[in-house]
Amino acid sequence: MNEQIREQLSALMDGELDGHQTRFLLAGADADLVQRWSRYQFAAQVLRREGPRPLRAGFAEAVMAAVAPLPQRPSLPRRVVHWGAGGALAASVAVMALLVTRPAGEPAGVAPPPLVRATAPAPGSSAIAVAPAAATTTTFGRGEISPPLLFPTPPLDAAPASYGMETLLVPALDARARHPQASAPSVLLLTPLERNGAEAAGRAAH
Amino acid sequence: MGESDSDSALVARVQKGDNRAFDLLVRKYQHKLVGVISRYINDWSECQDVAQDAFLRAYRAIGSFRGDAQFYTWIYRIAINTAKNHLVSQGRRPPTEDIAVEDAVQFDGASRLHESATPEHELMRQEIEQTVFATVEALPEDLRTAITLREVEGMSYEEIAAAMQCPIGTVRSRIFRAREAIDEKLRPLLPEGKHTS
Repeated sequence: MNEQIREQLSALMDGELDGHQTRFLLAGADADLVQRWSRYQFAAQVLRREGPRPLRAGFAEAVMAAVAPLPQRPSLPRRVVHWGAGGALAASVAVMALLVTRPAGEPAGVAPPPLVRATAPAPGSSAIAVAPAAATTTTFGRGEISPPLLFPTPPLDAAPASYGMETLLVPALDARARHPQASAPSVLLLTPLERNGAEAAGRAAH
Repeated sequence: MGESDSDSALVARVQKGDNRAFDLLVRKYQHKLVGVISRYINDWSECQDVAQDAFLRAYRAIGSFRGDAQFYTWIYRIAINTAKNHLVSQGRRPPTEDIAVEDAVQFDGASRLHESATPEHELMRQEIEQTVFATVEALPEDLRTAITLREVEGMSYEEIAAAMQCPIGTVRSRIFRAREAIDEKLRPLLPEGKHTS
């Protein structure tokens, strides 16, 4: 233990060491430093005529052996906390949407018109084909949850508050829904390349 | 700044899970705590048992210590309650009147020797006192003045610097060197791990 550390120990005893220095001093505390602290304290009490009396050997050691480490609060990584908060917020929005956004006066059994329509592929036009309507048309009826990328509405900021459940369910969870491309009312599917595009288009038509 | 600031810093460290800080608090207050408990319990060995129990209780409760009172006041109350509970558990009657914390701090332990204190212990205590005071007397004047103003008068570094007309850093150094000189004489009388823990 060098002289600087011993001087810091002396300053700590007098409350003249700041928090950071105290932390660093304690981090490097060894048995020698702790014993020296004990003797400094003992001498101070003698000087103040407090009459310290000898204690049994190992008094403090016995106390320290008996204390268990303090229970620490489990600290979640910031990222996890951030995600958790975001999830909770999203769940709250979803629940509020379910409770609040059903338009008043509209019968429950009437489904709104489909918001997405598929277009038939042009035969042999591209390796990326638009899916046939019968197979892939997705309607956003009441009670159905739609994928955010398929959502054909304007950006959420511009949507009226009473637009309907389908406008509020998912887009808020996915920033991609605000992307201009997301508003295109079509469904794109990737299909394998075929040698004869016309033949493939004919099969799809049947 | 003062001793209570030192306690606050150490308590804050304990509350963050640093047990070394609690070790320093135990070593700082062990004699005083046993001393105040000895006002309730006559047997010196029993006093130490109760004091250890009080430290454990303090450790378990330190998370709830908010600094409304000074640490020594808080831990002394724990010690007194532990001593009274101990007496009740033993079927003995605790004193009806409490000892004021301020009185407990100021009490002169040497004047309250118990029957369990052996002549050997008393001889050792006297030898320690004589050694400490003789060492202080032999210090250079600037060191002696600094350590006396600090330990006996309880002045802060700033106050001592003003009184001695020197920088605070010089005060800190003088007090440290005085303590080192005392410690050099005291250490042979207090073998490691013995008597002062």
